[in-house]
Amino acid sequence: MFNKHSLITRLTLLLSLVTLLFSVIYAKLYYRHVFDEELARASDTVMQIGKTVSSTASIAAYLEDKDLATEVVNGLVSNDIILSAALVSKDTLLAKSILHSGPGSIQIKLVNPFFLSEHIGLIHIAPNTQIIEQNAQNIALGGVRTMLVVILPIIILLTTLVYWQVTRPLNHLGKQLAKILPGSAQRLKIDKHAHHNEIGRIELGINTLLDKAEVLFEQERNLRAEVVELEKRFRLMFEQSSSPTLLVKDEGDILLINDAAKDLLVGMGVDIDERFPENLGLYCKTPDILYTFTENSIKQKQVMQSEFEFINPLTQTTVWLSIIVLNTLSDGKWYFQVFLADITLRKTMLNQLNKRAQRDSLTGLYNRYGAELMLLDWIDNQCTFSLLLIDLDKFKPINDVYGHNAGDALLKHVASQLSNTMGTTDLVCRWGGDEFLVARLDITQQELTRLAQALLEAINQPMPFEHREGQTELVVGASIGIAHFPQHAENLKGLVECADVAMYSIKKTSRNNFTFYSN
Amino acid sequence: MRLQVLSSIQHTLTGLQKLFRMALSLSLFICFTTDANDPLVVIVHKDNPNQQISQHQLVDLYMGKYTAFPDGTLANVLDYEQGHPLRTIFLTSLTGRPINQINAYWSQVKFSGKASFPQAYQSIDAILEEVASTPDAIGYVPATAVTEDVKVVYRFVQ
Repeated sequence: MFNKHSLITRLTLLLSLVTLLFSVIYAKLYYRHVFDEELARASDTVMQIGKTVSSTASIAAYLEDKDLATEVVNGLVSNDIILSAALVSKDTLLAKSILHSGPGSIQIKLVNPFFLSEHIGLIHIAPNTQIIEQNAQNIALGGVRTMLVVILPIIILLTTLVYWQVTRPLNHLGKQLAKILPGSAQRLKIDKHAHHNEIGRIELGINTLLDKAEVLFEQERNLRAEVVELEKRFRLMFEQSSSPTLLVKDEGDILLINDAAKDLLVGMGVDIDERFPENLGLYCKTPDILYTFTENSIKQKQVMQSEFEFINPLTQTTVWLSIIVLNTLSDGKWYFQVFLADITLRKTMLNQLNKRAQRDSLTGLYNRYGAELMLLDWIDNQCTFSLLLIDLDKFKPINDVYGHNAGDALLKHVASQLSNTMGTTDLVCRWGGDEFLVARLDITQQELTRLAQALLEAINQPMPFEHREGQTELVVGASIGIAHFPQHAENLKGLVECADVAMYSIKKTSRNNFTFYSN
Repeated sequence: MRLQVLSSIQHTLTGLQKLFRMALSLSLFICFTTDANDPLVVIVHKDNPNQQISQHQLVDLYMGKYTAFPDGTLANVLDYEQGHPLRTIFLTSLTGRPINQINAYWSQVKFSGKASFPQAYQSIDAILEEVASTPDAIGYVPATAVTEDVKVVYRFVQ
């Protein structure tokens, strides 16, 4: 119940203290005042008494009558307020009381009763200051006592009233408040009578605040639910996306990584706890290009896309990844989103398609398209090379006599012979029908002559062939026209024409021979 | 207490004195009309060595402070009985105080007994006779009554 910090206790203590202080000051001031007043009054009284006895005293002084003087002095000191007295004639002390000491007394002049101008003596009267002081003290204390008698009941009354009117309702309010949960429908119960006083107004204010809080809480709750829902959807979109995605902080820390990306990277043997792009760089065939690519993306704040080849350390197979880096600014910080795509399958298919487009399906040699690509590349790079155009002799009769199968088998046989004769860096191509084309880089005239002879020998090798009538050997010859780049022509078409011209000159004259193009 | 008694006595006496004075002034009119206008003089024995006595010395003598002449010889002070018109005139003109105050003075002095009353006489003649026959006597009479046997030492200025 008793609480030294409570308002009522403090108020009471303070009031009591102030009253005490006030009483002390009041007593001091009042005492001083009363004392001075009493002293003045006593002094007046003493003077009056002095005046009263002055005629008798004058006579005593005049006659220097000690008996009369003693009587006067005795008469004076019989007064309470007079401590001591003495009567002095011109030269001699006529009478004095026991306590008379001299200083601090009031002096009344005595004159000759018959010659008023003649000064004949003095009455010394010392007021009894002790009694005066006592009186003053009593009066002052009485005043303070009266004051306390008035003030104390007022303090008690005030304390009680303040307790009932303020402290108790405040305590009640506090207890109610402690029970209330903001955002709930709970409200303070407001006393009908307290509706218009200060505490009632505070309670009304609190209820209004609670109303607002509830509305705000409700809004907040709805918003939060919305956010949660949205987040769930976004998370779903991100996590369940089949597109492998990473969210990377500026410094390379991977913040988010979805399941598809995890599967992809783990499958590739990449440590997903490593920083990006260093984790990928370990297995990239061109790590420098990969690092430059991501650096540029960060610097230029642009969307960048590129394809990189990796070696899977687990299976030692090639993996192709398409990497898209997207820079995003959020709350003043840069992030980049990394979209990965495994394009190995597509890359392989493209390679196969390329191969298929460039190769002859029967012989497996480059076809005309494939050869042209290669030769154009050589020409673009200003390489020197020689081109040999080979046309088989007497191929048509074999086709006619033994059928297409025999023709095809012979073409295959020639192709294999050519391939065996030529090096791996050389071009060997089925130019079309029974026409072949070979090319070699940086070759001298003598080497070329030797090569042409070797090719003729290889083509002339007979091919055993089985047919319905029995086994036989098929043999073909070839006419070879040779042209040099860049001596004979500056473009491919011109060069092939030159070789063709040379080849036809052989076909018309000797057959199964070769010649160099000459204008 | 004693003072109160004193003052009440004084008060009573003052009241009585008032009655007396009224009665006296009435009788004065009847008996001493001529004397009343005569100036009073203070007389001593003709052999008295004092030629002049001051007013102050006279007051001291008649009020009982001293009983000696200025030259130091003892004085026998003579006065009229209380109530005598000459006494009233003499004392009031000598001291300048009303008679009742003088009476009050005496009534107070009487208690202590330090001062002694002058010897009281009934008539001018008795005073004259006593002064003439006693060398240390001093008295007062109207100026017209002065004889050769006495010496005037003080005259009231008219």
